[in-house]
Amino acid sequence: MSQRARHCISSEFYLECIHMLRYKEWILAATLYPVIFASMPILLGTWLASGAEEASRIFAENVGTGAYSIFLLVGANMWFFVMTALWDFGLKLRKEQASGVIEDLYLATGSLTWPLVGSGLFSILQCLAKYVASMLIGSILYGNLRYVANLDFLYGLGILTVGLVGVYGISFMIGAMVLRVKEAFSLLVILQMSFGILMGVFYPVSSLPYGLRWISYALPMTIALNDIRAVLLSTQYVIDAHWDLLLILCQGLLYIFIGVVALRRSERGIRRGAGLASF
Amino acid sequence: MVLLIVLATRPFVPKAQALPPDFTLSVSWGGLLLLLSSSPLFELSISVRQERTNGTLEQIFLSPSPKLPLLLGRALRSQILSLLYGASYLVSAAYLMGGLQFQNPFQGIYYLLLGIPVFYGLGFIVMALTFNVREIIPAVTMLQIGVVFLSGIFLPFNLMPYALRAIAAFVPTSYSIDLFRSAISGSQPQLLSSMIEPANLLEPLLAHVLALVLPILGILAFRATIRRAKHRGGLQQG
Repeated sequence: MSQRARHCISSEFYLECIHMLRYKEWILAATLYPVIFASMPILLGTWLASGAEEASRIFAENVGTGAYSIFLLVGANMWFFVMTALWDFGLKLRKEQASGVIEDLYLATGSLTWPLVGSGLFSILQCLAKYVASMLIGSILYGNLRYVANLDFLYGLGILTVGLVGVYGISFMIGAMVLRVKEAFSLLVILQMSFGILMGVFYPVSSLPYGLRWISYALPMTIALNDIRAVLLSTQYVIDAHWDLLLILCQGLLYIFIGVVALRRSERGIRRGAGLASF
Repeated sequence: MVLLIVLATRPFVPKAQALPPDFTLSVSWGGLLLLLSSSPLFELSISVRQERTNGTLEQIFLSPSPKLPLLLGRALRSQILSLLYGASYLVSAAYLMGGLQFQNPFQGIYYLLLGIPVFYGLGFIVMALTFNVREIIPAVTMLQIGVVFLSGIFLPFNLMPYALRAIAAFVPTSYSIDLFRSAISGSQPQLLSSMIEPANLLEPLLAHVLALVLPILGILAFRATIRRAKHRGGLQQG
């Protein structure tokens, strides 16, 4: 990597830091959102089962662990990361397009890849920090800190980091799509809900119909989510710990490859067509 | 959304057992209520913020044209859309949960309509409260989640712990939602039952009072905020 590329990545990273610090409300909100998302099914489930103990017993019978609050917190966090990747990173180019600066960026002599790498790195680090913070808050709130304050949590963090690579691959694909599609928001809302249902954010993927399960496992975060739960709560791995990790890594690299190719093709198509500034 | 809620709560019910009827009723109609409440609670505040960020709010508010219809027009667009989304939600809920309960349709529609001025009144108050918040989306979302949760949109009040139900009694939208649900299910209102007597009379009375008072309070709060912003020169700040 050239010095110019490194400089480009660090500048973009710094810019994202400044932007994050300018809107401090988002830091708090992004940390609390997963806790709030998870709280809905936690409270609904507790009331449906008429109490926390009974809820834990029934949940253990159906899912394989009684620590339902941690199960749901991990799921809500993963869903939130996918949403962040879709809305923030996937829409990054659209925002540049809307503010009218994308043409300048593309007509500049440098490549757009390095700023995107910087932005992606920042986003991954931000996701990891938010995951730690929101898991700590959630586990303290629901009295399950022992599942978070241990070394397994760090291993789970490692799985999450590998899993996020695939998510950013998907967001490159979204980036490619929003450059071409005029009404990107409705598309993202549909994708966001589909991810929520198919990833098994609030239930094990095994409860989905057989055919749907395969689509679910093909998504970048499903196996990672399943394995983080397996590490923290001793639920089942998809195959086993090592094979799963290899699968997540391969999936991530494949998604990144497809995402970059799709984005490049989309950019080329737009440059030849109506122009970048129109959207 | 229906599927997500059903699948999320299913692990809390023994395998051979069905979801409680009260719960399925709340989930099937809750989506429609959520969509109807979102436009006033979310759209009003966000649209003002958008104009402010674009720098056009000052021009709009300093012009001699009426401001309130302008804002209501914005919210109406998303309200119509939310009705369409709500209809599709009801169809999917009916399909997934084996039909929709509708015991007293006219009374139900009446209470639903009675809830709309309450949503808008609260929306104006939210807009006034969040006018000076720089990053508005997280603030409004938090408020919206709080209102949705405490109004019993997805959770019937009889499943709510007593302490939470007591807090819900102070959320203005709870009354029309509870009355709407009691009308479509043909049961008694649940919010104030075993809390204050006679709950059956008090709940409709409070729902009507709120439908009259809250929009006025909301508009007054909004006008006071705008007046303050005009005096202090805060309309143009994004």
